[in-house]
Amino acid sequence: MSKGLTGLEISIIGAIVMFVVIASLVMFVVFLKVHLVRVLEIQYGYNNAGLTLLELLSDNAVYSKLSLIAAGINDETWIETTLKDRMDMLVPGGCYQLSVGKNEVLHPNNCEINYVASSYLVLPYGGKNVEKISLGIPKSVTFIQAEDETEQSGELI
Amino acid sequence: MKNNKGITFTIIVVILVAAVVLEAIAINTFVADTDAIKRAGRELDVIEAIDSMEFLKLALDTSVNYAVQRASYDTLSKGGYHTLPNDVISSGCEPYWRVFENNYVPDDDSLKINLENSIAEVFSCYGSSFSSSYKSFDISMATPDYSSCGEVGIGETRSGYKVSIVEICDYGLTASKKDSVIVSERNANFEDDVKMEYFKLSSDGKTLFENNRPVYNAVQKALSGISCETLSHRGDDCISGSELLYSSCGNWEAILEDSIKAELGEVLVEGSQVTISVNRWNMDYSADVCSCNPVEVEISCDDSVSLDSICPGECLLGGAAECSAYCGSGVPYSCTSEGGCTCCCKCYPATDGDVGTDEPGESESEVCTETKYDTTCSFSYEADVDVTISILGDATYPIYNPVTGNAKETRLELKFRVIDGTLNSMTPDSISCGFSGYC
Repeated sequence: MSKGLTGLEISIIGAIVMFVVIASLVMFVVFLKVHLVRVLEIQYGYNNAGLTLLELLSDNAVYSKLSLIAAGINDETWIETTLKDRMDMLVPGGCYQLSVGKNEVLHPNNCEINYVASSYLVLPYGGKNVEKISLGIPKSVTFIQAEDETEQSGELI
Repeated sequence: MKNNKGITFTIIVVILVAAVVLEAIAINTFVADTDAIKRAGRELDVIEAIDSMEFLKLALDTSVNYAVQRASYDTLSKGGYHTLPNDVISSGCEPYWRVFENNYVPDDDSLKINLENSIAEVFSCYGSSFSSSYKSFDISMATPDYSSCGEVGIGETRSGYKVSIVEICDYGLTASKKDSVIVSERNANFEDDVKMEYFKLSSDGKTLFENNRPVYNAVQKALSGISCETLSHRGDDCISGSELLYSSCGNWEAILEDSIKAELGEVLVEGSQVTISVNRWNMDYSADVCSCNPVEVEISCDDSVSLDSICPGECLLGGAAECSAYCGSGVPYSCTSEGGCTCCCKCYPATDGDVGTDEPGESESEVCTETKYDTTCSFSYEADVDVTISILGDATYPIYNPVTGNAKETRLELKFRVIDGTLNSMTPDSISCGFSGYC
């Protein structure tokens, strides 16, 4: 004759059922958060790179110089001084990669790049009128607006 | 029995945990299709579209200066024209600003309008080039065609010029990501402060050629100073003017070319570098006054002259002693290689009607002479030249060089042609330019 469930067994089963119910909700949320965090992190990274590139090119003098470099009128001194200083200010930590066309203009220490934003520069008319410019940044970077001193943290909550 | 129960129980727990995990994963997959996730993705598209609009505006801001530089360079190199109309005489892309007394210099309004049209067209090309490039990012852009929907304004400022490009069709700028997110900008007007030598160079050209004929003056001055104006020749016969010219001044064309080039090199405009190079020449001469007069020329006793030619009669053959005896003392003579002797003898006037005698000792002597002919002509010259005038600016601009494929700091150059001169016979080359516009 089989015995019925003991009180202990019923309790255990009840506990397991509760665990399953709660876990099904919690696991869902955990997976969702992981998924969203991953997506947002990538979004934020690319947006940061794009905004940094936009901030760099918003300076007319920098835009003109980069455009001339893309057109073949190089200026190594300007790249190593003015441009590098500007990039160091925009991307603290000194890790970035700036390329114009197929040429790498600045890439300190060959550091690891995770997010790359690209646009096009206009060139002196004739031949091709535009050239691609790309800026790569690593995973965590703080985006600084150079105009005012507002600092927006790039870290995720 | 208890063991069986324990194992069954464990298996059930494992299955339940696995089911929970699978459930979470499955629900997440469905959740990914929810509006929240889609909205997050859409937000990224919106930010990309907004960023691309900002990049477009930055690009067009810079393009104003590049459009002005390129338009100035090209329009000046075509003598102030954007595209050369059919009624403008040109050799290739160089229009004739003057053909003798006819002046074809473009007026100030035309020069300005041609530049503005050129700027608008180049600026439009930048818009379309940038838009085409952004297709690689799945972003569609639309920019106005400023050639038909733009007005270019050029205003002088204290430090240079301000060029504004205004869109008049009210299309604005648009950027769209995946055709679902559209960002538009109504203001499609751009302006920039530029340095520009276009008006200075075209003004220098007009100063030189609009009401003046410096090429004609240079030709005339060169012609008046030519060294082959009066030529003479003495010979056994009279010769023609052309024979005289080519025997005495055979390189007269080269002399004239050098002289004209030297005079053209003196054509100046203060503050600008002017170079005049000759493409074609037409030259002609005329022998205005020619005379040919016989002249008796004393025969030099240094010359060995055959006795037969001046003293009719036989030439004595003999040795030096006989010659000396025959010709008389003091009369120069020479012995020919054949053994004959020739005397530079004095001709004695015939007293009996003979032409002369070879017998010395008779009455008085005259100087031996022979008849030569002096041909003298005075020449006048005419010339027409087809020249290219080049007026260089001072500053340099980054201009694309198709040979190297890169940009190069280049000076602006106003170029046009002039035909002028005193001959009035040269006609312009008529060769089409082959430039049909930008893009």
